[in-house]
Amino acid sequence: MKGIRVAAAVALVVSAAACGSSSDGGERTDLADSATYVTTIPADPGNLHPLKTVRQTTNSVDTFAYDTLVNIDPSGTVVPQLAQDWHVTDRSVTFTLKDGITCSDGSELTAKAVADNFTWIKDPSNASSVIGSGIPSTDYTVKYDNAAGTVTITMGSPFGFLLEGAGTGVRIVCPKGLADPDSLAHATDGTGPYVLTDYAADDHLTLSVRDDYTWGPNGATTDTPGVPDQVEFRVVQNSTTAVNLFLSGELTDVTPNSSDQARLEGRDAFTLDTEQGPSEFFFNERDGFPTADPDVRQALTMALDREALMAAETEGEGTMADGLAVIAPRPCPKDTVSGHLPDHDAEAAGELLDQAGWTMGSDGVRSKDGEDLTVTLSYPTGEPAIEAAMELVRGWWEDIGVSVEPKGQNQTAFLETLFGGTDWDAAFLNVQIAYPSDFVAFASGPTPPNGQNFAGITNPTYDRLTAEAAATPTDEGGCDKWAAAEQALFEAADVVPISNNVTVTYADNAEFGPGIWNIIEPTSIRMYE
Amino acid sequence: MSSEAAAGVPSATIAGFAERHPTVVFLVRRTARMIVALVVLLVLSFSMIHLVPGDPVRAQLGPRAPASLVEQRQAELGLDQPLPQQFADYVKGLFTGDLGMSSSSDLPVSDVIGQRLPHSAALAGIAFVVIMLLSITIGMAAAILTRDGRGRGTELTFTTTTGFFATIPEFVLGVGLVYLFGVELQVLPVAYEPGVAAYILPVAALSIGSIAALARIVRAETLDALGSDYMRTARSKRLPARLLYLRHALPNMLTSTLTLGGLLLSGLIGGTVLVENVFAWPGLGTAVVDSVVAQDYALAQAIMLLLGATVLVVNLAVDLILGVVDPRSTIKEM
Amino acid sequence: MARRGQTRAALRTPVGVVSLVIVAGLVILAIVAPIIWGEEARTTDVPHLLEGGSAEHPLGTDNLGRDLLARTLVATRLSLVLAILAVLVGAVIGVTLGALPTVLGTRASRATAALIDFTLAYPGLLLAMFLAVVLGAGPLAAILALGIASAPAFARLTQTLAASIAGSDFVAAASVLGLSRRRILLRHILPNIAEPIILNVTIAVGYALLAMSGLSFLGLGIQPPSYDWGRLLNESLDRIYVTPEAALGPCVAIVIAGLAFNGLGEALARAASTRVPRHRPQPAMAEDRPDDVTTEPDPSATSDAALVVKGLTVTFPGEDGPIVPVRGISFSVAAGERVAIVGESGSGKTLMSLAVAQLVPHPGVVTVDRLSFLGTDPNDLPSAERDRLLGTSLAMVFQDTATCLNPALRLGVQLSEVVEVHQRARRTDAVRRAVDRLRSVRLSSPERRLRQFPHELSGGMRQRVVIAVGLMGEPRLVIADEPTSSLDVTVQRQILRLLRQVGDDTGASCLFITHDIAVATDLCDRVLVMYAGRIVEDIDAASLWDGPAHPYTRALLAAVPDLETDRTVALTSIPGRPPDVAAIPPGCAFAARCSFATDRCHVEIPPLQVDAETSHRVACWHPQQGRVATITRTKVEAT
Repeated sequence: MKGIRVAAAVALVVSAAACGSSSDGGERTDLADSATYVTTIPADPGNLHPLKTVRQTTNSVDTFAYDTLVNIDPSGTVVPQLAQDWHVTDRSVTFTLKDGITCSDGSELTAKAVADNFTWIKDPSNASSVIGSGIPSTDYTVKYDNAAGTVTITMGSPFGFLLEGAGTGVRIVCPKGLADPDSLAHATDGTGPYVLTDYAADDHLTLSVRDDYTWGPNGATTDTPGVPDQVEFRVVQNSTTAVNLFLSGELTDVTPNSSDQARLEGRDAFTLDTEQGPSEFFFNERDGFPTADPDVRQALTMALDREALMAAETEGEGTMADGLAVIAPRPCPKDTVSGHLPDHDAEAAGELLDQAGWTMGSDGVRSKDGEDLTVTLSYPTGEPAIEAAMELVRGWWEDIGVSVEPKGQNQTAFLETLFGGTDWDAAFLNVQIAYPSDFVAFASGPTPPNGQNFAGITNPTYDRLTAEAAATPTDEGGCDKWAAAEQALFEAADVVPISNNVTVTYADNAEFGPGIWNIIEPTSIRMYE
Repeated sequence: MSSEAAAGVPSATIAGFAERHPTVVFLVRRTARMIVALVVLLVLSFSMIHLVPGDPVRAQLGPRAPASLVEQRQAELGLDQPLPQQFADYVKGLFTGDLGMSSSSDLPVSDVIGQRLPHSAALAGIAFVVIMLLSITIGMAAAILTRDGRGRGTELTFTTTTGFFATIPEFVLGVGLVYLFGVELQVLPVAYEPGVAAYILPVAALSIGSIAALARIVRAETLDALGSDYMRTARSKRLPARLLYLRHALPNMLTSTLTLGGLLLSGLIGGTVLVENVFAWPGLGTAVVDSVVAQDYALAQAIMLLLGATVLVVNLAVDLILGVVDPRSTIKEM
Repeated sequence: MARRGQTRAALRTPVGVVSLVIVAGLVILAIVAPIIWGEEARTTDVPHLLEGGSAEHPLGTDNLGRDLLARTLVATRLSLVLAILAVLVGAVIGVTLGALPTVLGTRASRATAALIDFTLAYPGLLLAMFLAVVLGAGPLAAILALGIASAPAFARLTQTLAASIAGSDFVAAASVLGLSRRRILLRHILPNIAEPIILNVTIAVGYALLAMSGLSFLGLGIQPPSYDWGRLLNESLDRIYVTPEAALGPCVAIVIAGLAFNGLGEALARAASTRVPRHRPQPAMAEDRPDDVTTEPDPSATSDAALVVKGLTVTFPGEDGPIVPVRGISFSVAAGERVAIVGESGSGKTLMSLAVAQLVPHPGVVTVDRLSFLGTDPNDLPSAERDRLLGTSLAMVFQDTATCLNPALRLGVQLSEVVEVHQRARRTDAVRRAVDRLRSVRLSSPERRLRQFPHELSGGMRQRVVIAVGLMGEPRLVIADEPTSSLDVTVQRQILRLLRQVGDDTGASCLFITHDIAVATDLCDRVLVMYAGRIVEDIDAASLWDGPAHPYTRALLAAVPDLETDRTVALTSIPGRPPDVAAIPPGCAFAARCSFATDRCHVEIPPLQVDAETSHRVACWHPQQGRVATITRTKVEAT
């Protein structure tokens, strides 16, 4: 059942940023006034408070009602939204707000109100989910100047993506809502182009346009022809049902899963591709685990036919992974994978294991010092494609003399296993990150429960390069340093990225573009008759 | 209940009372039994969900959330308390109407359930009525047509047709119905929307299998009834068919049919989980699975309790109705 | 032996045969499929994943390019094994739980019963889901979950069956002998309920297949790399609009297997059922009576006879040609006359009376040369008039007082409906008449009785009510079929007295069917003795003791019990058994048991010959004379 998978898989989406390429269904001029844009979300969004949620479903609704300080356009350029200007250092960012921004209740948005958001996030008693996704830690200070309209955030340690993190990772809540968090469960109080006007649990949400909205990215306003008057989210768990609804004309757009995609292919419709990923292998590198040995990891990697694995895992709809932070607009759009992972060569893999002292037994299983080479392969269940892909992997590894114990678990139990650290050797999971720096906590530092380094990775090269990269702003060669750091992980077979999944959004009488967080940019929607 | 040892005069009085007011004793006994069952259900629903492995807060916040944030959330939800304390709080909350916060949606459980229950109840309720009406009608008609080994062709058609529909998985049936009526013919909505039309397909998907299964039982029960001595007596009175079947046969097969119907309801609750998914129905069915998988303790507990209590209450109601329709059933309990 | 024969017969029905063939096919498939197609089902072909049907892959390929047809076939083994194991787990738990009340004390057994009720009520799918999550999704969890979820149903079945067996005579006897409860359970109860349990296991396997697919649909069933039909279906259901054939394979497999197991179970259940064996209609079903059935000579009927029957024959279709339990009977009942019909069980007397009352159940066929009830043939009347005639003028009193009144209806309804339907009486009039009739059958506080249900009355009281029902119209003929055999001796006399008095009061004739010739002579004016579907003697009650002519009648008389003998037990003192109704020998049917029989008796049927003077009729080649020598004649007091 796809829906369950989607709902639960959100837990793995660390943070996400927007879309891939868009293709055009043809030039159209019949823009519609006062139309309603109807789309789907896979589950009820729950509490809509934007600073307390980590759910993609909730974020996709909140985007319409809460603006962020800056935005990122499809080319990856940071563009103004609430802030008209900004100034970045290696550990601080200062935003200068636009004039005349109003909250949905008509009150003006002040620099203090913006700063209060950051102060609220810092307070541990608020248990804000922004910490760890938009902003790396609570180790920061906030200053503001109402007269100048400036807000400055200063981190305790260098953070190369502070502009993007603070600028797009925090949806600004207006003062009234911030003071009364409970009031935001099923209402909105932001500066975005839409306001929530109707909510029916597990069924639909409706947002209505604000006529006075003029501070969109790149000067977008709601006074533009074709901008929908209303946006309706319908809760549809089952992808097939969503496609049925789309085909019967009840939805403006639909994003089918790969098997339903065939029903829409060849349709004369507007499409928008979105890349998600990558899915990758981690190996348990704690002492005593066979995969602590780099040769074993290398051999296991060489045994993989990554192209076939990608095809199986994405049901033929994906692409080969080319980096750790692949979600568009990519801050560092460089292929960091090609040439840094070994080619598929089962024979060489076997030789490598021979060299490492794992000798082939008569039963086809290698052993060393009387211990069989047994690998527990841990992965999340619920998605047939992943489960099928794991069957392939099992076969390849068994071919080189590794005894494989598959361990499929639901998302919750899977994470528990992963963070428990003792019941797995190899794990296949999808870690979506917005910035290369988001990966540092996974590949270095303390193991759980004191940190997020669940695989126990120790890679001095990666540690050194990431420290340098963190202190280097993007436009001064930061991306190259991040690429080198990632490659150090691949070459040591600490992390083996496999595939990116590509989803396609189809729309019959609308066009739109990608925004941040893999969500359609609200102000880009144009409706046609 | 007074022990037998304390007998003497009081127990004689009790026995006398029981003899004079069998209905009252029946009511008291049934209600007491239901209260015990509810308590068992309460303990079970609480302990079972806490047996599920995995940390719900970690699962919800994701692998990147810092340990301090996880601890903070756990404290907010009361999950850092020892289990007995959590249970005490849970029971206290039940009596004050506070069912806690759903950890996955960050909303009060009472809201989550309150908004979804009416949709599920409407679906299950309509399906239940449709099932009872159609299965009794079809089953009785089939029994009358095939009584005493008549109508072999009809019997074969009936058994194979009902067998087929009772065996086909309801989610497959649901998908098939949507495909035919929603997508190909486009005469009925493919998913939930306000209005009667949206109910037709999900109710059909939910009830067809049960109608088939129950109709078979109704037919068997009716055949039993038709072959009975009192039906021969009734026939010897030369009553018209209407009275023969509706007055004499129907009440006698209602006992077992209604009992099964009550049990059927628990099957319906399971069925809604599958059907609500296919029809994007804003009901509790989807919340059941999601809350268990996401270990949303408060929500899962509450739903389990609610569904279990519903089933118990409906079965009590069935017993009470039976007590009226077929007075022998109260005696049997004595 | 008989059981096995029945089972074989049931399996010969079309449903039984087809089900058995499919189940056998599935079992064979489960054994050989992994060997034959296992390799093909494992071969991955990633470039051709998720393809639709083609010549090479009729059902298409799965998400690793493996052939779905091969996988569906191979999955048979796991699907069946899982379903069967789950049902076995459920059956073992359920039977244990259900048998407990039999061996435990009252209080403990009531608690167990309540527990079964409770678990039975709990949604099985929810239980299964929780178990699957707690134990981790996989085959073990799925088996346990479905097993535990199906256990309550088995528990309830066992409980009901065990309770009924526990109440039976031989268990009561075992208790008296001092056997322990455990021993009774193991030795007597479990073997007796094994058969229905096994049938239900068969049916449950079909549903377990279905439930397993539901678990898999939720992702809680079998986990990869194993696969059963449920998982194959779950994987391909997402693609149903694109490649429907992929879902078709496992779906068809589940439905066919489910149907086959259900069909087999039901065919077996039908065979084992203790209900009246079903009659198979044969194409050669005879409307005409068989050759060896001859119409008995005209009865000597008076012009005002209440009932005249000539050549009454009842035929049932049988496996080997028609069965004729009533063979060309002719007799008459004069107005106000009381006629007894006497014979052993199986002599056709009850069926004959049902034929007269037009109540022979399907597929029995009644043919008659002449039937006259109160001067008209009911078959000549329009149906409404016939119903009114028979409904008001013919009263039936049946044998079993415990079952012949409708347990779910108040007595008032059961009494008044006759006149409300046939005489269009108003409710108040009907009630008034009902009170009057209840009073006339000597039932106390009749107004209160009208609001009571049959179970609130004793057997004797119920039989009075049945007689009162017959009196609601204007009965001209009362057919009483062993009306006292289910009652104890004292009550028997009261009911007999009542019947006689009813006859005297209303002037109605009475056809009194009994196996007790002493009761017959005491109550009735005339006695018809039936044997193997024919009247063998028709004699005045008064002259019966002086010397019946037929050896069978004489044997019956010789066997009359005295007062101390239990009269509910069929007569056994005549050596031999009555012939099987399906194979009545040529010649005189009684010849085999008759000490006077000659060769002729075994060849030629003796005609029923009338003594013109006494109108005494007898069918015998060697009629006897004189009083029956060895009778212990104790006249039954009926007054």
